[in-house]
Amino acid sequence: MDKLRRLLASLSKTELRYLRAFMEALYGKGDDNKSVQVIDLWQSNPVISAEEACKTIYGTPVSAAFKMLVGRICDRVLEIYMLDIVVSKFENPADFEKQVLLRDLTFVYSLRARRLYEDAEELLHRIVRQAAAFDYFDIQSQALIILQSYAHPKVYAALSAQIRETIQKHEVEWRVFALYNEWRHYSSSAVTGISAKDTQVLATLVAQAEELLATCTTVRGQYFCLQMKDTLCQLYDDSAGSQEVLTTLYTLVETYSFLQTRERKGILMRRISELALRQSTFEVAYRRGLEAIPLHAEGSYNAIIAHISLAYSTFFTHRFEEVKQLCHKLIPACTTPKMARWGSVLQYLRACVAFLEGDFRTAHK
Amino acid sequence: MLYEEKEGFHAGLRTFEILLLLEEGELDVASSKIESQRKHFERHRPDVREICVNRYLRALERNAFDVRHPTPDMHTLQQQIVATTWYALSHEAIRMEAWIDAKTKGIPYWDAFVVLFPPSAFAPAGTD
Repeated sequence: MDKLRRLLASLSKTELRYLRAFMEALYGKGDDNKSVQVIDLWQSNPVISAEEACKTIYGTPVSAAFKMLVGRICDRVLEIYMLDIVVSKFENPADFEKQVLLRDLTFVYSLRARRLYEDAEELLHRIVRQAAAFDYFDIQSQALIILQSYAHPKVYAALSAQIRETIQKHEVEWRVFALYNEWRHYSSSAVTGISAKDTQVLATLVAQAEELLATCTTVRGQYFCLQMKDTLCQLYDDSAGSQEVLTTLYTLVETYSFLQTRERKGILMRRISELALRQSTFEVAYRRGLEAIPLHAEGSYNAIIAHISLAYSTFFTHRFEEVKQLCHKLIPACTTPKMARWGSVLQYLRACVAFLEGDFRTAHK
Repeated sequence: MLYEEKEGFHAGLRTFEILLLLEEGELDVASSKIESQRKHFERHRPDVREICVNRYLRALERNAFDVRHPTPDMHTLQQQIVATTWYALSHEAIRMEAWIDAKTKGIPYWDAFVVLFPPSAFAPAGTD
């Protein structure tokens, strides 16, 4: 019941109305429709317990039928979610496309079940095209395999070659992702220092990813590999390497729309700002830092980190009032334990401003 | 919280605290802080710059905190600090060589800061 309550609460008024109509169409109108009764009960009392609801509907606090009923309603709510795949809900167009493609794959089966074979094939071809455009090799290979299973013998061989190539790309990409996940585990402490042993592990992971991508390039694979490489350059104090990696990353994100998310661009801008700070080009760091801030959701962890490089560049470009304002605004916002470190860094920077101004008492505080 | 980062911010905060104490004339407290920083460095792994800074501060202490008349030892250590890499985005926002320079010349740190990071070095907006 808890799950159902959460799912129902996530629906908008329109979706809830649609769910009710859907239930009535499936299980009939009137008092016999127990699914609609459950929704009505929840609407009149959003914190209703499973026992109460079960007793109202079945006359007993515990019933296997009630559990099945709740499970059925949960499934229907998920189906309602499927109807709500609209581009405005996705920040990244590629995420929207992926949802649409996954949904379309299920439509293929529905069309075939209704013997609408031509429509199913047409939809499959569209899925293959779209998935290829967005580098979704998993969906592409799945659609190609379905196409092949119904294909004419003449095109069978060509489809087989295409499937092999797509599966290879898919495999490479997922192996890079697996390396990336491992890399995240080892690089999580990069901010506060990383051991030489872990640096060695990271270097091995990057080498493995590069080796994989040498045989078969995928844009996403390249993107994640470059991200790993950037961290490695930071650990090795290799500013020239970082510069090269960040320039390539920037070009990738600018070229491929499906890599473009505000968050990714924000992180990239922040990294460029950090690199500029490392190279002591403070004005560049300041401007890149300013660009990074609005790309992150306000109050998010990434936004706080972006503010740190901005605060440092502000400090070294003599904009002390701005540093104070940033600290005043952000220190109270660093509420989670993860953010608290950055709050302390800002306090340190505020003390440094006081030191510069000769106000040692404030700095000591 | 940053004090918990034994091999990172911790060293920077200790140095900053020592500089503040020296500025405020709290020489005895500064002395004990320098010694405790040395002990801390024995237990943890500071980087080369942090070791040089601590050695300089110890040499300064031996010289009765007289920066204006540096001993050869202090002079050598100052050169060693300059030779190490400094990063802006670090726990050393108050740059040690600039502080030593300011103290040697008897000027406020701000004046050395302006020389090291001159406002004219910042390009006008839109030029990069």
